[in-house]
Amino acid sequence: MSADKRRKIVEISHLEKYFGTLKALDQVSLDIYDGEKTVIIGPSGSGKSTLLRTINQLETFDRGRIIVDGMDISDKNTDINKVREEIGMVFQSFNLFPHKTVLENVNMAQMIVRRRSRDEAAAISEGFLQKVGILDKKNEYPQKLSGGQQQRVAIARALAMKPKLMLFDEPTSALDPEMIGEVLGVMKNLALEGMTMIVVTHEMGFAREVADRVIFMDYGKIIEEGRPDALFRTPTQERTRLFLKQILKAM
Amino acid sequence: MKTKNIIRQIASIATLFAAWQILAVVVANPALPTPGSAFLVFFREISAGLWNHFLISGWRVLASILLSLLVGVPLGLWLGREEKYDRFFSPMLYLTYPIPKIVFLPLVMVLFGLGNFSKIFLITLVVFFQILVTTRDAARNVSPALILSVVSLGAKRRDIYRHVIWPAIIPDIFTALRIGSGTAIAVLFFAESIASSEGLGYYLMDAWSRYAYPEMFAGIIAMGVLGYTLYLTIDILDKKICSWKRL
Repeated sequence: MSADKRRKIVEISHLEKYFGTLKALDQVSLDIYDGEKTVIIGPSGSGKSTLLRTINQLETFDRGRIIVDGMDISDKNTDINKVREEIGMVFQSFNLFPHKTVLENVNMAQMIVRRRSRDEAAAISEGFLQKVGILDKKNEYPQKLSGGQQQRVAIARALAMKPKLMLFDEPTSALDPEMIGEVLGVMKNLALEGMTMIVVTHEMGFAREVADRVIFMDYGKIIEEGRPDALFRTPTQERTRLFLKQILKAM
Repeated sequence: MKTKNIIRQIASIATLFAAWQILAVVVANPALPTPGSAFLVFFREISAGLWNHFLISGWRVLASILLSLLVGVPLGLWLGREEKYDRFFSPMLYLTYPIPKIVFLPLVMVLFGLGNFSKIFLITLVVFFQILVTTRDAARNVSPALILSVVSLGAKRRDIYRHVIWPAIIPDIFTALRIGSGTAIAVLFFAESIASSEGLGYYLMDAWSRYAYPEMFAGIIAMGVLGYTLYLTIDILDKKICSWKRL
């Protein structure tokens, strides 16, 4: 696969971020290509979520450069909201609006950010709710839904913005075990359709099955990266090997 | 379901009156008339001037609550979301919040006279604080995760205020209103009982000074009705506006 011929969606170079004196990101460089599925793994506190959040500037960074779809987000003249419109994000907690129905939840950002009319937004919303298999709940309020269902609505809400890139920040970590499958299923379908995705997760099965590339982070650094079969079977770094051993034992 | 609720409400009120009746019979003193005689006087008095006092008091309370909302909610929203300003204003707030504002009645009367405005001002002064503090704390406690998720969708600051923070604090504003309306009536009574010639507070104190106990109780009933009407209105608005809350 000659990834270099494809378009770069995200270019991260020499990224550094401090939380006080703690180096949260240490010389992180990473290119994400159009259509690529990247899974980031690593122990908690390794900087993987922080890295993800710098891409849409939910976290700032201290040094380095990030270019998203040609827009340099370290440039003060870049309208960060324009960048965010192109990046969908799904969080660990589902963060739906409790005072809006499922359909309204998916409509809202389309209407206030993309300036779509209600009808236009609703048509798009219904399409994505169908896709994540939850259209029949469109008139329910979020608290009537299970965690897995809420997370699927959150995915539909992000997709309805028609992003070029989807970020998933431990999307199944807050879910009961029996609901993890339905959310991963939706993500797998999305991957099959060619969506560019960066996923922070502990679901190694998902990584193995879906990822083009797995990145292992620790202490704010990229320790090792590679194709999932290679990285899982024959990690070159001791720290990767230890982490994988621990996480596979826990599963 | 609906009729059941109405039956429950009526049962609740009936229990209260039964307790009153028993107490009146036990105490057997003119200072505590039975509910029957109090209501007889209440209905007689309503057509003979009590209704006017009721309307004046009602208007004063309502105006105070609206004024408190108008000032307290935006200010609370702002302080709740802008930490550096909150740090400046918080000490001021906490120093003045516990002071019983009714001690300022003499000053308020000197500044604003004996009319409607001085009453409304005093009640507003009390209720405003309750609404301000509740709104501020509610705005401060809006889930950061929820805000981040909307930020990640590209929403601007004012969209976040309008579509995330504002709807999230409305239930708390209703709670503040419920607490505030009780306080408002208590302060109203005080403000109207001194150097006043109108309103339920005046009516009550006037009856008291004439040892007209049944009339005094007619005034008490009117005050209860005023409070109950306020609560009902707040409940209906709450159910309408926050229908998503009760599922």
